[in-house]
Amino acid sequence: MDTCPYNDLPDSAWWKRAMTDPPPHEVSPLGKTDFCIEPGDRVATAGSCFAQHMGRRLPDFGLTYYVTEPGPSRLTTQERTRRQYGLFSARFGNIYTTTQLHQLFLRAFGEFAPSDDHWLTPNGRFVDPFRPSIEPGGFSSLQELHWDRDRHFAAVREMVAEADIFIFTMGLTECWRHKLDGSIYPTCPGCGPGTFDDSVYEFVNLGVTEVSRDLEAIHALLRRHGKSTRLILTVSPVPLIATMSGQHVLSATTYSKSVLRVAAQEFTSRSKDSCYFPSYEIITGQQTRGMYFEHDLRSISRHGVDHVMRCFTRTFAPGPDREEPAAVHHHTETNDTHGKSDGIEIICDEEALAQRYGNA
Amino acid sequence: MKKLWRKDTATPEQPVPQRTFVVAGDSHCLAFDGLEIEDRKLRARFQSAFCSSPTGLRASNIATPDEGGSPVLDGVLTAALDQAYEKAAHQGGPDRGDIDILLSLGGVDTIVEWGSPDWHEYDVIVPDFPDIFDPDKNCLPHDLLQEWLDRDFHHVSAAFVLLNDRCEGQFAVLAPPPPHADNQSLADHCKARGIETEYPDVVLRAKLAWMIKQKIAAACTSARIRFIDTWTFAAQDRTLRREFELDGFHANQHYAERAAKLAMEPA
Repeated sequence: MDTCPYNDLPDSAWWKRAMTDPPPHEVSPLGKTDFCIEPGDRVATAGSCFAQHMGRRLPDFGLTYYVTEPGPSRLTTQERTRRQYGLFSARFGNIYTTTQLHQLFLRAFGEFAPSDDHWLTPNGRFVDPFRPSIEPGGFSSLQELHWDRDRHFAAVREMVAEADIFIFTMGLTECWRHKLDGSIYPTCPGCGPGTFDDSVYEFVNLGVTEVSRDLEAIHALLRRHGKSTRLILTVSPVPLIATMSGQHVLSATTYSKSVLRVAAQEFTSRSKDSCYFPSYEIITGQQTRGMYFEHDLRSISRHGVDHVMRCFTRTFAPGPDREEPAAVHHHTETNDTHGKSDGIEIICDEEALAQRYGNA
Repeated sequence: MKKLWRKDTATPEQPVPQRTFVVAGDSHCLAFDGLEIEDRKLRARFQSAFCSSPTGLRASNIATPDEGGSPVLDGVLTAALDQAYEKAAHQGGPDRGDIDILLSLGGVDTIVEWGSPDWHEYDVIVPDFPDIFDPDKNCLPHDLLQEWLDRDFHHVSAAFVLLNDRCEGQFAVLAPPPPHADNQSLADHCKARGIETEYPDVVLRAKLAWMIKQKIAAACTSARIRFIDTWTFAAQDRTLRREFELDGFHANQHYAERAAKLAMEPA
């Protein structure tokens, strides 16, 4: 009798059976999960730019994308995207780091007030340092900024209180921090709005300990203010557009994604009401041979997003009536879809950095 | 060459001169029809030229560039002007050069036309009066409203220039009447006419109407056209004073009389 414990392993445990043999578009690197999203469950999203795909696509699969700050119904699709209404569940803009998300929740519940209240643009407009791109030209007055922020916080509180599922797409570990109060910014102050001052701001590259601590704090806050909200963590497959770490950008990306991946694994293995969804693996795994990246080797193609969403719905929301994105066998896009995935506009604050300074 | 605006004042030796004003535009012009006003310097007759555009005549659609020009301007408004000229001629009235044209446009109409089911959830901060807003409502970014107005009113200034060129007398633009303060009367008016739409409550409606009025005023300035600001007498808290209300949508003849007197004054 063969007593080798590997003998009973499922196909998914074997590289050849799970990765080499299946067609690339059929690879679904998901472990077992008890998670199930019912059609009526309110699904909230936040995170880096890749998370925008999630929200956009959820309704296609009969899931309820929960948006508490949708913006006026009169907005056109273009206006809605430009002002970032509905890109995420509330109008937070991109949330790249776990600390940024934790601090947003604290601010929304009145538990943290950063010293940087606003930035002034050269033409006298007002910018929210923590949502620098939501108003394309800045707010017309400080009053308007404060009012909009108050309403935004109310929307965040409503989301936390009412969402059944919260999907957070973790993007980066590199960020900029206020030296005095520890505020974390989505973009580097001064690279766009704000003024860079190295006596005020410092570069930070989060490690596993800090990310894990943030995840614990976010989870605790969801428990405290939410209604048993379940948490789905995923790691964005989109690489860093630039690194301040001093490393090569590829090494820096590998570090960043590794930290996020490890922290997600450690956290979800401890927390029963959370799970990890492998967006990162679906897009970057060897089975794809890079076909899910656009020509900039950074933007994710429509087919890549389709694959992610196919796996997502199969895993969390299986059902005979659910539509699935069609699989493609060959990737043939040749368009330059800078900041876009097959025509879908993605708001990426990092792109703005590259356009300004990186000859992107 | 055009005469300068209202240079023709009376002297003790001369009889009071007469002048005809044609108020052309949407339904707001009707209140002016048949008015006759005389003061020491001028006897003025007012007649309306109602432009029954299928889309309604709004400041925002007197020129619609997407449709290859300005169909309302060409097809409706100028036709109304021609009719007014012909009518005056038929009645042995004044020469075209002695007929002054006042363009009357709707502002509230544009807002109602913008209909949005969630208007009541929003408010806006207007820089002219920044402290008036409801913090419990959602913030409608002022820039966003300006974008909507810019889009709708993009060609208004050019349209004013065209109209001015076609008028042989003087040409001026009347401010849209301020909106009614009473939501219910507006609702009744819309319902009676089968208009199914949502519109903002009075505070936001008044602000939008103010912004539209300012937009039209700016277009006039840009086109070097006289703008007659009726809000100076007709508005209270940016809504129509009760004594000038007609039906929830329009201003009454008292309003028209006051506006007419403003128009009769030298620019």
